[in-house]
Amino acid sequence: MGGNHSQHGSLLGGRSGYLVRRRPLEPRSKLVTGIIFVFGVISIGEPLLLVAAFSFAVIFAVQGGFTVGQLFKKLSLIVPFLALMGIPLLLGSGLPPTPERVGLASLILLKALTAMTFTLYVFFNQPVEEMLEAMDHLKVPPAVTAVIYLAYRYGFLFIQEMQTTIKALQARLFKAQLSRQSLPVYGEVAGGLFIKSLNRSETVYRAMAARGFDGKIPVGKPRPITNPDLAMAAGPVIFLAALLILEQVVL
Amino acid sequence: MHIADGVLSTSVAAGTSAVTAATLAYSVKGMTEEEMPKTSLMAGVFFAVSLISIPVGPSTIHPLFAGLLGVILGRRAPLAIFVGLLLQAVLFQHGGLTTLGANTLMLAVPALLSYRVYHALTGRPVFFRGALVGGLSVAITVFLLVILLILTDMAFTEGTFSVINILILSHLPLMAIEAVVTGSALQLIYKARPEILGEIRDKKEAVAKGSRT
Repeated sequence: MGGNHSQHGSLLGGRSGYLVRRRPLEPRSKLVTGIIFVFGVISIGEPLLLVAAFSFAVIFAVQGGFTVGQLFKKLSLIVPFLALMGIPLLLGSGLPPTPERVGLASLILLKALTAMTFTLYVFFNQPVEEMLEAMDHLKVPPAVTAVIYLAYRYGFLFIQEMQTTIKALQARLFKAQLSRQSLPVYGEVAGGLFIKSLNRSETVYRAMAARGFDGKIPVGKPRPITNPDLAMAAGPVIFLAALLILEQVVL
Repeated sequence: MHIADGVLSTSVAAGTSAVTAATLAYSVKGMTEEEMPKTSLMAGVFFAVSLISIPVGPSTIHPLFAGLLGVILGRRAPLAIFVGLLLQAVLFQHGGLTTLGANTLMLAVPALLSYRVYHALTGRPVFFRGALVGGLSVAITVFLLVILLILTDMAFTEGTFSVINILILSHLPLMAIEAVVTGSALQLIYKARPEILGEIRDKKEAVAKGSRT
């Protein structure tokens, strides 16, 4: 897994870290900061402080390489999930919604947007190999990193296979609908994909075993954590701590 | 069903993350090198099949496949589910990092139970067993989701059109869909590769019985 990272793709379709003008944050620091920040954000209970946290996350993501348009396009993907929770929460006890319900729905919305913005920053412009190396150096069990690595590599192949199968079905006048005829077809598409993947997993295992696979994907040495890395990683944590203290002491 | 970041309280998110870590430790324990590609590729398929969308009214839903994955992978299923959900959260923004534990748990528990139920009913038709675990896994997922929401805030239960009532109602068609889809998928796997389901002996016996009659 170590070695020439710039040849591999990065998560979220971002540009390779080496091509970004600003030196990217060291992956271990980025991952740990990201986890602290998102868990910290969901424990804030004041809408104003969450607006501040969201603004901070947007600024951080933009300086990390996102354009505002890209960021909001990605964030729009969580809207259906939030609507499923938010609309019944607002209107569940009739119209007009009570201030408590409006407050709770706004908190959920702000927390979700802030946490997702920072998650996007953590994984954007980040070659998957570097992120898995970081996880390995953070003592995540090798079996977990190996499974993530292989699932990431093959997941997109399966998406392509599934899309090809669906196109083939449509070419045979299959109509996607909720009916007794089409549901077993969906089942057989999924079952077929599972069989193909199991067949392929046996080939993959033989190829890996032939190359000396011993249950651990080999990783390179970690990049040293420099003082600028520490300063950059500490920024969000200090900001978050300030917000939490402000909430407890002042508000 | 993916819970987005911010929906669960910090204590529920942290608690479910801890329980999921323990479940993953159980899932990884004793894993052989040969099982890693199989679990990985199953996680890849789980990630990919979430893009199958079935039209229901003005919206679409996609099967969860927790039961199917559970029957195929047994105790390795929680790891495959965790990885599939992690990729969905990072690449498609379905779910989130703080709710990854809760989302994994909601599918891992039914997956583990599905394995037990499916193999406890050996001798019954494969489609029946598949449909049973498919429907049951959705019911368990929704049950766990309801518990997590109640633990977070009782506001989710209030009113006729409460979040919980809407979730239960919207998942009723999914239970039926998942039952038929899982039953059909397992039937196909049984016909093509029965050893995947640990049923080679049953099939050989059936063939032998058939040739005797």
